[in-house]
Amino acid sequence: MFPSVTKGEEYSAGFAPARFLRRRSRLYALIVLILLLIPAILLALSIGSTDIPFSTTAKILLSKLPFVSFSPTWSGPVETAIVDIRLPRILLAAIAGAALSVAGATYQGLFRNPLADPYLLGVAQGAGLGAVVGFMLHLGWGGWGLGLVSVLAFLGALSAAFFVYYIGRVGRTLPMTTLILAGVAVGAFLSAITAYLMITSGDSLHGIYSWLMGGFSSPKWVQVEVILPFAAVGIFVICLYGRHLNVMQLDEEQAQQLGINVELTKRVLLLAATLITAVAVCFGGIIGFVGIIMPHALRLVWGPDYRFLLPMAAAAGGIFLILADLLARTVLAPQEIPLGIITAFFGAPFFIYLLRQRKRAVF
Amino acid sequence: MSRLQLENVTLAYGERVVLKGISFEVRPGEILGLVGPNGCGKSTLVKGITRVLPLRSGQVFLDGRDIARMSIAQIAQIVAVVPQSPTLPEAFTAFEIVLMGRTPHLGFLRYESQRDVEIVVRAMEMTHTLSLAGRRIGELSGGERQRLIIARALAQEPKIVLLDEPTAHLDINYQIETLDLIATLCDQQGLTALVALHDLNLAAQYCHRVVMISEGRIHAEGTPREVITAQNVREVYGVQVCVYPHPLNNLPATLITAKGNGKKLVDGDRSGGI
Repeated sequence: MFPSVTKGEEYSAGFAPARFLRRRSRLYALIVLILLLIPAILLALSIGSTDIPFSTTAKILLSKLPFVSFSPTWSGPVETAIVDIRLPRILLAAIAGAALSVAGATYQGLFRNPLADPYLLGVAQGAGLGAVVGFMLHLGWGGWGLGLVSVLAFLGALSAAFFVYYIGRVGRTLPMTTLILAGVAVGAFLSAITAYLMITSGDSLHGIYSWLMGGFSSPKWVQVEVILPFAAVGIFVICLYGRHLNVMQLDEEQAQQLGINVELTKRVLLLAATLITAVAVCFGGIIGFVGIIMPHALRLVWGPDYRFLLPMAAAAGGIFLILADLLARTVLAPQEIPLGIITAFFGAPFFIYLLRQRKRAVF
Repeated sequence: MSRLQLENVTLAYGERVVLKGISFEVRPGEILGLVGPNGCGKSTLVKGITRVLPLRSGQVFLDGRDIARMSIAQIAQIVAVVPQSPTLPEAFTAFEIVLMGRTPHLGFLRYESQRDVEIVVRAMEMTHTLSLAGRRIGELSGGERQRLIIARALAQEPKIVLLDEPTAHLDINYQIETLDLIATLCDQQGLTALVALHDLNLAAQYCHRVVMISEGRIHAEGTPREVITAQNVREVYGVQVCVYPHPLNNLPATLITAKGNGKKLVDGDRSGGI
């Protein structure tokens, strides 16, 4: 149909379609966001109960690389503080932030609904129930240093999601509206059970509340080793389906008529998004706001193309949660504020500001 | 070999059977018109051909290949659809939407190449939508969106295009322009088209052959002159019209008469000679 179209053809009157794609500006923005992770990590590592100069922090980190050696100009306790205490915590925050943002963007794309967030399919309620049961069982079972609470939270999150998926299916298809309704129903049911257990359990309540509101107050390296592969693989797979998500912003009928295997795409994305949400939640508790608001903020600035939005969400979500965690442990030092409070308190006004800058449709 | 062939196709939504025993074919370069009352199954037929709705029974062949044995991507490389009132995401630009038409040819990880972009530009030039390229969908009118969807279908480089009421929201000049474009592409580039139309005059002027559907079955099939007759219209649509030969090309022109305007018509009155 277009036999005359060849590679190097000129356009009339200097028309340049590349600017409609904004490919280069979005790519630069993505690279910048990824690079910003480094100063964010350095900043968060250096500030805390004792402030450590950036240069020292940088040197300590670099000395951990296999082919670099410095003669240490810092003391042992400083190195312990940076490497064993702060670094795992910051990495957990970064990974959880990335996972929740990407999951939120994915759900918004799959459900074509700007209100979708990673906890839509009962994941949060399942994790909450698992955590409460874990607290109640009160065993200090140190299986791989993970703790009963985290394991049960993870299992609870995944079980809830799979149950929702199971009852939301219609034949061989996965209608999105049925899935949402199933998620609401299952979530409400699990919340009810959780609330009942909390009310009737008396003493162990205190720890549960702060877990539920999110935070990384007892970070361990083993947690990073568990969460990182799941989150990395999940986020990577989701990013591969960026174009599919774009085309699925049309309705499913059009997407199929454009060659997208809609049912397969839905299943892969749902599975990956649920998985990364579950790992984020099982160590960090239920951190709200990041999953729903980060994708919107990015869309406001750089548009809705999921091929860029998804990796940007990972980087920006990581940075955001690193900084939020920094605030959580420094604002009211030595007391720690739950992370969920920080994310909502600082994130919401920023988002309102962004909304007022742009008047056009963003979704 | 026919581009598109339907053999004894039955389509249903659950218990409700919409089309029964539909058989026809469309030859390469032909424009086949699909006419019939609202709800007669024109859109359903389009869904069946693209396997969005599974066939209850019967077979559909594209260039001789059974669609049941083809993958979704393979079908999309051959067939493009211009749906009636598609949902379009408001935040994407017109250019990005038309660019989605290249999806069937892009494979899993490939980015759009220079050639893909140029095809999109050409498709938008043909449909006079290039001036809308940087605007967001949310800002465009219904007619502009419809022309964009046609551009998207053309960008898909299909062998067959299925158009479901493509002129529904268009002014008369764009109606003519769009169908002229389809006719030219079919004539000169070997495109084949199946067009569902509610406007019988457009069907008569542009379609090589017409299929008239009534109550789930084919009521009449043939050239416009054979199918668009006052008798068929009365039997299928339940209204009385005059069908005159068009003064310039003798194709059937359907003329409506409002109640009370002019003499009362009986069947066969002044519609002889068609």
